[in-house]
Amino acid sequence: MTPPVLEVKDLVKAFPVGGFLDRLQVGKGSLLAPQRQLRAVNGVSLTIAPGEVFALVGESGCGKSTVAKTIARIYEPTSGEIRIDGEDVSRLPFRAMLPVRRKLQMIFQDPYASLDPRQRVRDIVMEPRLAQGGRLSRRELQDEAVALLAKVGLNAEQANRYPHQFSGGQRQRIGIARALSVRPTLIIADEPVSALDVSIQAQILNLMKDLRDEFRLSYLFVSHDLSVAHHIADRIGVMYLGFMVETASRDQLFREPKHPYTRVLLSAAPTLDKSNPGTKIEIRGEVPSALRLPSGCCFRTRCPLAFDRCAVERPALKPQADGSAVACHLHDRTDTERMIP
Amino acid sequence: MADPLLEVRDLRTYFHTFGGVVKAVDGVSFDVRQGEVVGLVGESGGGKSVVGFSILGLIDPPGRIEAGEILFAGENLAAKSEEEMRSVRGGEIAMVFQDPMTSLNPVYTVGHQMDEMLRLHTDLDRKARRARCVEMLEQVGISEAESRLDAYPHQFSGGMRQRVVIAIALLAGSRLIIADEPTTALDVTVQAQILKLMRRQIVERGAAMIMVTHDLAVISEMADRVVVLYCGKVVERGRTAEIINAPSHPYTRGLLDSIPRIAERRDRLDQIPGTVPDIRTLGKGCSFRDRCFRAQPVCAEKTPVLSPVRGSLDAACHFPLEETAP
Ligand SMILES: Nc1ncnc2c1ncn2[C@@H]1O[C@H](COP(=O)(O)OP(=O)(O)O)[C@@H](O)[C@H]1O
Ligand SMILES: Nc1ncnc2c1ncn2[C@@H]1O[C@H](COP(=O)(O)OP(=O)(O)O)[C@@H](O)[C@H]1O
Ligand code: SF4
Ligand SMILES: [Mg+2]
Ligand SMILES: [Mg+2]
Repeated sequence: MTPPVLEVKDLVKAFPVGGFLDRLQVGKGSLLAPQRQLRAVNGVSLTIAPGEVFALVGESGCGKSTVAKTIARIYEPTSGEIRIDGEDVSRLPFRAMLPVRRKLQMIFQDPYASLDPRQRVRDIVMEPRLAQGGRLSRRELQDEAVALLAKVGLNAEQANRYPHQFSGGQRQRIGIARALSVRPTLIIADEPVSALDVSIQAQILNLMKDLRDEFRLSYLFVSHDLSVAHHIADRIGVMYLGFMVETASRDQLFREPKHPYTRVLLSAAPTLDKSNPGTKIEIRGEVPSALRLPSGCCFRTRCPLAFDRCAVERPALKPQADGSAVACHLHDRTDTERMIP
Repeated sequence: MADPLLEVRDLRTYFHTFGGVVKAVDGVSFDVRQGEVVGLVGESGGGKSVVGFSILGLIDPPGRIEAGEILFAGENLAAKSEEEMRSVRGGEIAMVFQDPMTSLNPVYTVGHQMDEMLRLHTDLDRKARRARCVEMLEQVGISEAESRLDAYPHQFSGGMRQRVVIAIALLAGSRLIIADEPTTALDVTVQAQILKLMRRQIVERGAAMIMVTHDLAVISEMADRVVVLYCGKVVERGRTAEIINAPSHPYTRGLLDSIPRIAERRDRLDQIPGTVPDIRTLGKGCSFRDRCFRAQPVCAEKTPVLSPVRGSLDAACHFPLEETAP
């Protein structure tokens, strides 16, 4: 069996927050400034096989982008392992990451913000390639840039233009071409179609599928849109408050969602295929703060099925018989009396 | 059938910019009846928001309503003065925007802002007003309403603020609510709650709503009827179920086919080729012709007019689609 392209184990990312003065407290007769932490990602594990598309879904603030950026080492992981082609890169210093970046590239939601406005498109798309070292003549550079742009549906004449001369969809194509320049095996895409109109979104999703087939790419595809995730993904991970609450194949997840949060999420999403909002599962309250995680299960403050154990014990992501994995005491096989109806 | 509450007739709102005249809304007509939600949909730049702003009298230079009528309960809003419109806004017609802070004042408590609405529109005394505010907050799903009245908008989450804006609109007893992408910035679970709340309030109070959104899935769950805009023109309108199941305009069809659907997964999405044209340079003919799979030479020559196609559907197309179109 080929090793996974990406293997993430128990990834934790905490951000220190607040100024020193904000944190000052009087304790035991002296001033203390305890470290406050925002726990954005709390022990996330996932694996992506060669050629596989893994979608990370969940509502805003649940930690999807932080997972993506920590894997890309834009953020330093607080703890945990990140293996690319078997090699643990989680502690590699910046310079040692260079060869890893040949395998892993990232594209972002906002094509406007992620392209340098003063550079010509041909230089933008070749930038990761040039960072890898090795000298290219002007001619080679131009030819490679044009070839890359052709792959994403842009023409040679457009190579000499600047980003502002392109529409949102075209800029996303440029971002994809840039990522492809080093022929990576894994592309991390953070909400790549969320800012686009649906007709343009369809163009980009089709392009990403074609490129995956042509280059046998794997994607870690972050999306808050379940229909988009369903369309592109082979497997899906659902996050809530920095925790992975369920992972499953696309079909499993939509046919038989197991985690109570997954059920809420699927039922809340508007679709063209059901016209009765009355059938949606009601959910109370709001997502707790990542500064003060609840004890036990992250979802228990809103879960319609929570019981006493949920407040005291944090459920681990447990593999299920059908290949999915769920972090919920109701799906803990040692607890057979209680099963979700 | 009851008279429409709102009739928009051949509305034209243009922006006179240095780059040319932007015909943002160019001959738009539709009705809204009591108890009904009408959806305005289409891709960005189609003119949806400008229609909403025109109804509210919120078009500022270089923009201008060039022509058309906006009949609200029989009165032409397009002919009213700014002062008259100020009392219509927030009174008979309320608005809910994507960013709730557009409608809330950050320096006053939520209770103060709700109370002001009641002072303006009712003759209840202080105590009765406070009770009414608490009741309304509870109706829009805000718990511990009594204590929340003394909180400021920044102490609320985005979803809660949007609830407050809706509560204020309901307190004013508005007969028409214009909601412009009201849930676009919210998470799906919150969106589901807010949509349900708005739908229930509209139906129960016999009010009406214009729901402006780019999201056809939201429209399909919320709206009774749909108006599809493209380049400032109505390309199709009709009952929601008919439009979603068998649209007659190629643009509506293209939009629907480009949306990934969970119930029927296709390997590739159908895409509408190209992009929206620059509306400053549109000439005669159909604005959609360069992207249309049905286009014929006549589409570049003659501008199609909105006319009945089948069932409740009207479309502006020389070659509308059959119900069983492939
Ligand atoms: N650079 C940062 N510094 C501090 N907190 C952050 C930072 N980036 C994200 N967060 C916080 O981490 C949590 C997860 O955010 P994010 O990963 O952006 O979520 P998502 O992409 O799912 O919307 C949120 O509470 C967010 O406020
Ligand atoms: N203040 C303005 N000045 C110039 N053009 C404007 C202005 N407001 C809107 N427009 C133009 O009017 C058209 C319709 O815009 P809008 O109604 O916001 O579209 P939608 O809401 O459907 O995305 C767009 O081409 C937009 O650029
Ligand atoms: S009028 Fe012609 S170009 Fe326009 S939508 Fe109909 S067939 Fe297409
Ligand atoms: Mg994000
Ligand atoms: Mg708009």
